[in-house]
Amino acid sequence: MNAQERGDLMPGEKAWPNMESAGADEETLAPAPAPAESAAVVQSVQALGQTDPIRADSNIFCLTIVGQVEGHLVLPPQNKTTKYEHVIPQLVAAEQSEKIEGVLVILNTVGGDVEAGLAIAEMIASLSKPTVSLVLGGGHSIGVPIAVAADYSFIAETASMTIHPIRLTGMVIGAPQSFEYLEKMQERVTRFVVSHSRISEAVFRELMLNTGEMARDIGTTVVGRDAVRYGLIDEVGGIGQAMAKLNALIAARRGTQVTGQGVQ
Amino acid sequence: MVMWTIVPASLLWDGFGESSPRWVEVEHEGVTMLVVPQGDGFARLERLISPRPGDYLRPEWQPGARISLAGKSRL
Repeated sequence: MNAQERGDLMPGEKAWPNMESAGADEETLAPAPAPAESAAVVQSVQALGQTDPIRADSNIFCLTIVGQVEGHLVLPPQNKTTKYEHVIPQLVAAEQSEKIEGVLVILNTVGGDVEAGLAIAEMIASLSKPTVSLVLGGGHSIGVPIAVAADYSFIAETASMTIHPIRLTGMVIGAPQSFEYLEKMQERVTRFVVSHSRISEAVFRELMLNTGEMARDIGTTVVGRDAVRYGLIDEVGGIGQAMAKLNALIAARRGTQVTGQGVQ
Repeated sequence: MVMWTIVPASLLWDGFGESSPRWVEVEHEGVTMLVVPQGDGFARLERLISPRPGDYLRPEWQPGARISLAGKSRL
């Protein structure tokens, strides 16, 4: 029974000043007045540091992949993360929604969980609606398959993508720590990237295992135009080009749908 | 679970397991919400569990949103 039910407090009265203390489980759910509708935007700004993330009247769903791609383990709080349990159902909703006609994926990520990243990449790749990705800042490691998963990909001139081998990082929980396992993991990523971009398997592997590029590591950092030159990304550009491309793909899809209906 | 990232493992995992948020499951309009109570009758929405895809596009139900716990029953 909480304070409200006991009748100790008026509706909306703050039940307990220190809710974070141990044993405060019941009290944490003390009722409070429903927020006024007009305060929704203010709340959104306070909670998310932005206005409403999804505008109901937009036909484009914008998905941002930032920080670490977080999978089965909650990463320590110093990491900014993109959580797969948030992203995957949103993509399901984007696919199902009648209002949404296209998906724009914005990336500035340092990599993360391989399987969570591949799951997001597969979701983007298998959407029936047009998808365009834009790499800003960085699209490293597992960000690479996510970036190439879209129908058309852009990279900012200054953005970079690091391609390096998958390896054990000293803290691997419940994974068979064998070389073959990592090889298989790497194989899955390579196959996905090769099949969703113009890069050849040989070139991708060469970039991944390059020893002359990075000071203390194996791999390659490709910047803007190089990513396009290797065939990893389709075009150098920014938000303007990305949005124009997405609108063109949406218009083309509408055209096909109209033609399709005409034939029937 | 394999992490493939350019962030050094020491930085990535620093503080892992030291503290975990106190998640609470609440139910509202047939939707399960995983929230972190803020102690003032409100909670930070951590995760939505719903069979209706449209629920994930509701602006007021985005992760991180501050939601009132009024009228929501604890699971």
